[in-house]
Amino acid sequence: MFKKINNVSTTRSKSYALKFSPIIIRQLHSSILLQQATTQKKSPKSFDTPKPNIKYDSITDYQSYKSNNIYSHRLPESTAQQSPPLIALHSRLNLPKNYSLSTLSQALNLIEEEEGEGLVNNYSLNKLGTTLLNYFINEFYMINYPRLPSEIHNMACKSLIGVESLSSIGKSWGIEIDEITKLDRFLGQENEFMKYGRLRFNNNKENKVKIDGLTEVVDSRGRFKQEDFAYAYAVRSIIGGLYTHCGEESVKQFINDHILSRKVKLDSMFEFKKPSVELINLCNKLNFKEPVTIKLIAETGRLSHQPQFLAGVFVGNEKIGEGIGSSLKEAQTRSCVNSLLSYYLYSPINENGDQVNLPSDDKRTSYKFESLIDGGDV
Amino acid sequence: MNRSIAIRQLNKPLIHYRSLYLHQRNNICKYINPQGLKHELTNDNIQMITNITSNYKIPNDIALQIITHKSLGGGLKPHNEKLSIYGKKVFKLAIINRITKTTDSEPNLNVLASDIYDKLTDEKVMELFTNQSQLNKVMFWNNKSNLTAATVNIFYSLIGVINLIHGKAKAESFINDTIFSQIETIATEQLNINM
Repeated sequence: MFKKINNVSTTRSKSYALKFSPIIIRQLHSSILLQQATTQKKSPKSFDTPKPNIKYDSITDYQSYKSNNIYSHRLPESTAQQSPPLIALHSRLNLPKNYSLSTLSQALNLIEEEEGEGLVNNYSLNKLGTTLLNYFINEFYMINYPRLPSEIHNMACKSLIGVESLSSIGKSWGIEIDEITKLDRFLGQENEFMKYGRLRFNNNKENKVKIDGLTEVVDSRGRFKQEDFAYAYAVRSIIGGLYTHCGEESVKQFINDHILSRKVKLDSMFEFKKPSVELINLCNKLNFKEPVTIKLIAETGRLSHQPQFLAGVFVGNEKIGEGIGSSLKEAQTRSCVNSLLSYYLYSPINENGDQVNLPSDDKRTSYKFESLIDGGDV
Repeated sequence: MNRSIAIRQLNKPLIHYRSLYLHQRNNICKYINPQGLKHELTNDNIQMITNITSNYKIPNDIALQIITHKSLGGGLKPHNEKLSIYGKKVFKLAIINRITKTTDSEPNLNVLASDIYDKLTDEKVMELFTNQSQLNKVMFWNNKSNLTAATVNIFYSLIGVINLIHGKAKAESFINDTIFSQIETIATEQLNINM
């Protein structure tokens, strides 16, 4: 639905938005883009946890790096223990006992230290979590699907650890956004500690008026809201926090359970514009000496209104794929597409028929490379 | 009448077998780099890669793949594009493991918000390192593409290959023992220049 709305935007409104708008409000049932009345100075692309100021004794003495803000501190563990949402989230995610509640609270904090009671935000945890996620997801696809073209490889990784996916994971974990103002909290007599278990980010709620049918988006393509980014940051930071307390093995297990358990339909990501040409190029790259041949293997009802043709792609006497179609042309195309898919989606197994070892498994067992290094796509 | 026509059509010999030959395209490209070197597996071509990986053996054909950019011959030769994507992730994680390590139980994450971390993972620094260590002395690429990207890809794909073949721990020890000190020096210099 959102895509359709994007498409019908007028040129005039687009140019107006590009020229003036730091944040765009998009009306659900019309194409008009409005400039938001806000005091926010940041550009739409720059939604990020504020970077803390750092000081150090020596530039290469990495242990000496610390916050430049003397008031900067982490939430005391005793305070964190009084926050029911924080304890509930810790239990729900089945985090290890040595994963402290104060770190979990830090992972949910995107507010600048000066504005947020001097509490350390999740900037570093987010960076750490991003790096860990990038590594383990890339490793999984690199080993288990070594022949994926680089674009599909990147898209597969993005579909697991992109903002959209991580945001939905964060929501499924039951993380709530701290939208209650100080006044409401006072009037509702809510416990002050409740907020430490909620997702806190600077969404300028004081300057905004909520109108039904209007949605705020913050990225240039108009797909994500501020809260989507905030959820993604929180999920990455929780993973980063797990690394600091429990190490890499726990992170790997956590990513396997929560991220890699989500299945990605790789075959639906492919779109071949000229399958036969791509197949020839691929065979050329693989140095096949015999020419590529498409043969009609079987057919039925050629003279009826529902004919069926079965075509096969051969290199010499070796059949590399086949496809069924209601015309000869369709059968040829499908056979080429199936041949390409069967090549690109190859997944190696070891001698026992199990999945091959990953490079990061080397701490548990002696690592032996059982996959293959592909020559890359054409 | 109609029935007899139908029978006649059925009696026609059906085409049971039809072949369509798809011809391979002619390789006009000669697979020669801008310096005039032909893309082939020779000791001279892969010498710099084998020198730096003397303790971490990698097959010769993979060494040739490391120094081949996708731009050469439209990607028809094995190239380093995906290896470099992977190697970049390996390198970043290894750098984080190295610089956040402390004597305490918890790593010091403050360093991740510093300029030195940004420089240590900056592509400009990787390019300078690759140039200094002459990893790109022989490089196969098309000079219409970006030289920086082609140079940096060699560096990252080398790390990616070591990780794939020897495992993550060996790749990290390669980074820590062989290249980290040089990269740290370059990053510090770059930081001082910018300041």
